[in-house]
Order: sequence, then C-alpha cells, then structure tokens
Amino acid sequence: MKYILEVKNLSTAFKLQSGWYRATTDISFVLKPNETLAVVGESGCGKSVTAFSLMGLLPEHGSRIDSGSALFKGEDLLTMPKEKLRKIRGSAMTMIFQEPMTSLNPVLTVGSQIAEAVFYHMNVGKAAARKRALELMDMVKIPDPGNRYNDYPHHLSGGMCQRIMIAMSLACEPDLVFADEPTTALDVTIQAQMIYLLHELKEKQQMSMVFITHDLGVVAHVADRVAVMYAGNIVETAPVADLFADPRHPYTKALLKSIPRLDKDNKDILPIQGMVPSIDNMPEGCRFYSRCEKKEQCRPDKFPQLLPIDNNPNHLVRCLLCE
Amino acid sequence: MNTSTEQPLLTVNHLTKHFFIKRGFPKSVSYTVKAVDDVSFHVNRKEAFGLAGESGCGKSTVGRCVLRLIEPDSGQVFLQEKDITSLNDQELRSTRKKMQIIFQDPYSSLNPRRTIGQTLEEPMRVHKLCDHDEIRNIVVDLLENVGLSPGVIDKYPHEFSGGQRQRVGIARALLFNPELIVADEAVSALDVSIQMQILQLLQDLKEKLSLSYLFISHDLAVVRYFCQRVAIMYLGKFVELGTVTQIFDEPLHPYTLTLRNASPIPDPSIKQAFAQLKGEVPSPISPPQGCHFHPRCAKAKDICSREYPKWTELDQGRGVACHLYS
Repeated sequence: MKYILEVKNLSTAFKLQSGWYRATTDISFVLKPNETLAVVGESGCGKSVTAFSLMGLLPEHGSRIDSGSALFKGEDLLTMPKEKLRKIRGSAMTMIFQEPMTSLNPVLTVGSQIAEAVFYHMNVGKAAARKRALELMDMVKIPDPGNRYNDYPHHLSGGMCQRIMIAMSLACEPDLVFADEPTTALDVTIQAQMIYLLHELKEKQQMSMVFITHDLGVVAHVADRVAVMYAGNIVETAPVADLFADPRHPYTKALLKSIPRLDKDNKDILPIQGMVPSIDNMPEGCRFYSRCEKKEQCRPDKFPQLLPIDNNPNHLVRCLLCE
Repeated sequence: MNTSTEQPLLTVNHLTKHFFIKRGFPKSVSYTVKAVDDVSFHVNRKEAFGLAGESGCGKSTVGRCVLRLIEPDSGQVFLQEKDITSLNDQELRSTRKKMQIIFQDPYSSLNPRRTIGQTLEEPMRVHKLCDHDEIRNIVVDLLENVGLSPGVIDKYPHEFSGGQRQRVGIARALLFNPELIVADEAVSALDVSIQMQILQLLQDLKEKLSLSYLFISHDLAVVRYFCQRVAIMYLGKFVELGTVTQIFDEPLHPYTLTLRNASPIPDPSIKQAFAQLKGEVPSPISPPQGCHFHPRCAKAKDICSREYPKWTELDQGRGVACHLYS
C-alpha cells in the first residue's frame, strides 16, 4: 500500500444565513504510512474543518461535503455507510482534540474512558480492557497508573489530561491519528514534553499522523511534510526541510518572515499587511492576491491550481506566478 | 544603557499579593496562594519591560496590582515620585489617566451593545477633558492613529475581526495620552500575521508618543522581539531579570534555560532536546519547600530544597535568584 490516506478535491460547505459557503475548496493531499503531515494555517483557514470532514464529525445540519473523495486504506471515508465508519473511527483512525480539559467526560474516571475504547473496538472483556488501559497510561508516562485510573479529569492537570487523550487515541493501535492543535492549550514546557512523547510513540507504534497547528515552531519539530493552508485552500506542500529553507508561495514566504524567533534579534521581521478574506466574500481568483507583495505581476481573476514546482512531485504550490 | 541618571517611570518595590481560597466540601479548608511574592523592578521611560512565565505564575496579577485593579497586600508602586498604593480613590482616578491597560481578549473586553464611538467617548466625558463638540474629533484622530478608518465609529464590536478589535482596545488605552501601558497578553489571542501588525503598531506608538510598556506575555519569542528588558517569573517570584539578549542568549537560572529550550524554534535544521524536560509546574497552593524550581532542576543541590535563594544583583542591572550564583 502506497498511501494510507488519499484525499482528492475535498470541498466542505457550511450554511450561513445568506446561503451555503465553502469553508474549504479543492483540498488534495496524500499521507504515506508512518508519515507525519503538519497542516498549518491561521484560524479559519479550514484546517480543522478538513479533519472533521474526514472523520465524519461535521454537524449533520448546516454542513455538507460538496465534492471529493478520501481513500483510507483503499476505502472512501466520505461514501462509506455510517456503521462502518463508526467501527473505523476510534480504532483504526482516531483524533486527539485541542482542549484536553473539555474533551474528556467529567463524570467518568479517566481510566474507564480509555478502557471504553478498548472494550468497544477490540472485542475483549472488561478486565482485559482495564489491563490494556493501565498499560496505555504507563506508555504515555502517567506516574502511578494504578491510582490515577480512578481519578476524574478535574483531578488532573492539563498536561496529564492530554496524556489521557493521547492514550485513548492510541488504545486500538490506530493506523492514522488526527491531532487537532494538541499542544495549543498547554504551557511551553508541557508542550515540549507532548511533542517528545508523540515522537516516541510514533517510532514505537508505526502510525501516520495529520498534525494540525498554527505554530510554525511546532511544525518544524513534528512534521515530515507540511501543508500550508490559506483561506480554505492548500497553497503549498513540501517536505519540512524544503518548506522552511526554500518556501515558494508568497504567503508561506511572508509567514516565515513575520514570526519572531527566540534565537535571533528579529531585526528583519515584516508583518503581512491586510486581512484574510471572509468566507462570504471570497475573491474568484487567488485568495492571497490582495495581500501578495508580487500582485503587480499577477492577475486577480484566475484561480491557481496546486501544481509541482521545478518538476518536483513532492513540492506543490498554488500560485499563478510559479506555474 | 544610561539608566542610572534618569529616574524610572515606574518603580515597584517588594510587591506582594496573596489570595485566600477555600477548598473542600462539606468541610472547607482555606489555603493561601502567594500569587505575587516580594517582586521588585522598574520600567524606564520609552522602554518595553517584559514579564514572562507559564500560566499561573502571577504575571497578570503583577500587572493588575501596578494599576491597583487588584489591591496589593504590601509593597509600593511608584509612578515617577507618586506612590500609587497610598492614593485615595479620587487621586487614584486622576493618576490612572497616565497608566492604562490593554486586555488579552479583544472579544470580551469591548461592550457588545455599544458602538466603538460610544465606547471611546465615554471616558472622555467622565473625565471632562475637553468640550463636548471636540470629543468626536479627538476620537477620529485616535482611530487614525491606530490604523482604523473614521467610518468605524458607528459600528459595533461584532462587525470587526480580532485584530481590528485589538486596535480599538489600543485606542481606548491611548485616550488620555498615558505614559505607561500595561499590555496583558495583548497579542496572544491573535493570528501570527495579525500579531506582528499589532506589535509594530505598539512599537510605532511608543516612538511617537513616548510610551513605556509593561508587556506581559507567555510567548518568549514575542518578548524578545518587543521588549528591551525582561523578568522571568515562576510561582509568584522573579527568578531572573535582565536585558532580552542576556536572558535569552545566556540564561543563568535553570528555569530560564528550561523555558528557552522548550520554546520550539521555527527551523527544522535546529534540533532541540525536548527529551530532557521533566515534571510540571507545581500547584501554587503548596509550592515546594526551598527553591520552588528544585524538583525539576537538573542542577539542584542540597541547599536548594531547604532555603529559597536570595535575589542576587549581578552587573549591568541583571539579577537572578538561584543558589548557583549566590
């Protein structure tokens, strides 16, 4: 199997008062086994919507998938019967959510929440599920799992809750994990521990990961490949080293120039002027046009395609000037 | 830096604030949280002084005590020669014109039922600073100063993006030509591209209006970009203070080093050793005996678990609280 996940032309729309609007348009990417793809972009660019669309977690009313296909190990997630998707979700394909404190059930013990996933998906008895949960808690380095098993989420710190979330998502040895801003709500020393933990677990467990974040610092340390999103489109994808060393899309370039670094004096920082266009007022052509520093050389009316640059099939850019 | 000859704009001496909380049911027990414990620093004119640390370390409480939005338990806060902690309500009100705050959340810090114009005009009326007819002109000028068009004056907060709302928040802080602005996580809620726009606006205003900032943030890279000097806080106390270059290029305190090493640098060619970090911030209700950081510290000695280290002044205004340097 070449790809674990193959997404083609995925577009998701939401209903607002004045009609249906597309939050993401024409999302295409592939994920190889044991690879981490970081999806990076600013709030509202559609990175979480993409993950929710693929996991089948969009609200039933007020949202719809307009087009596209998403092959997970050869089967289309978007057309699959609900029952089947339910079996995959939580076992072969799981998700780590952003807010560990609010994503856990406050009235169930943390141990039983991990065991529940094992019990439903792995066809084992309650005692075996409990044993597996304790193993998992040990694996994510929760000290003294035997006693922590019966704790409720409010007994634990944010970092510990996130470890529980990670244990839950890894309970059934998934092939694919969506991590939706898993470190954003945490302090930086805890964030560093989580990045290291996820890195270690990935080595051990052989899984692919889609890591959604807005923090380019985190991207640099977790990703094998990066997809940069802007206003509902993927504008550039490349291996992580190439993206940071040789960004090609004007948005990626500007973004990298606009973030301060701790190890430098930051004398040459340049903010990106202007704002992201709003969902009900998307331009027909390139969505970055109004903020692009090379717009004089470009045209506003044509929508660019995501195409390989320099004949490199691993580095794709959505820019008319690069075509 | 020529700091000795000029009097600092803000001087904070031995500021302390303890909170009392009750826990437990049915029998409750009260605890003391030492949110801010014996903190001293000064902010020079036209300087941005950073306060950095993880959540719960007391950095926001310092900011609020400086403005007396929270009453400090002990210690003094001087704005130039005036001791703010001893002012009565009336004096405080007039002094507050010189010191303003920008809040973190641009969504909840503006009244949703009032237009931007109403929000900005009210303080001018309360303080009777100018004629009724002039107010609107002043507000329009102010909006232009922060990069908003005068047309926004009759709009409501929900019609704006986060970045624009933060600009309104800045305009509100600038109403009375303050000398000191406390910026409490002023850019944390914003997207990266907007974050830089706001930071540059604050920087431009600093030059133009000779402002000083007490800049509170958890993001060390932003602090390094924006501030000249910075203090690192841990569980209510300063652990290290110095210029941003000193602190981030040659950190002395092991906690500063930990924080620096944990902040991911956006460059995949730099390998950071995340594996070495252990432990979590202890509860501020019962901080560890001795140095608060010793259970997580790689260089902890015997004395570290017994005594809290004294604040040691090093050369060039640098200070550190660690047994390794005392």
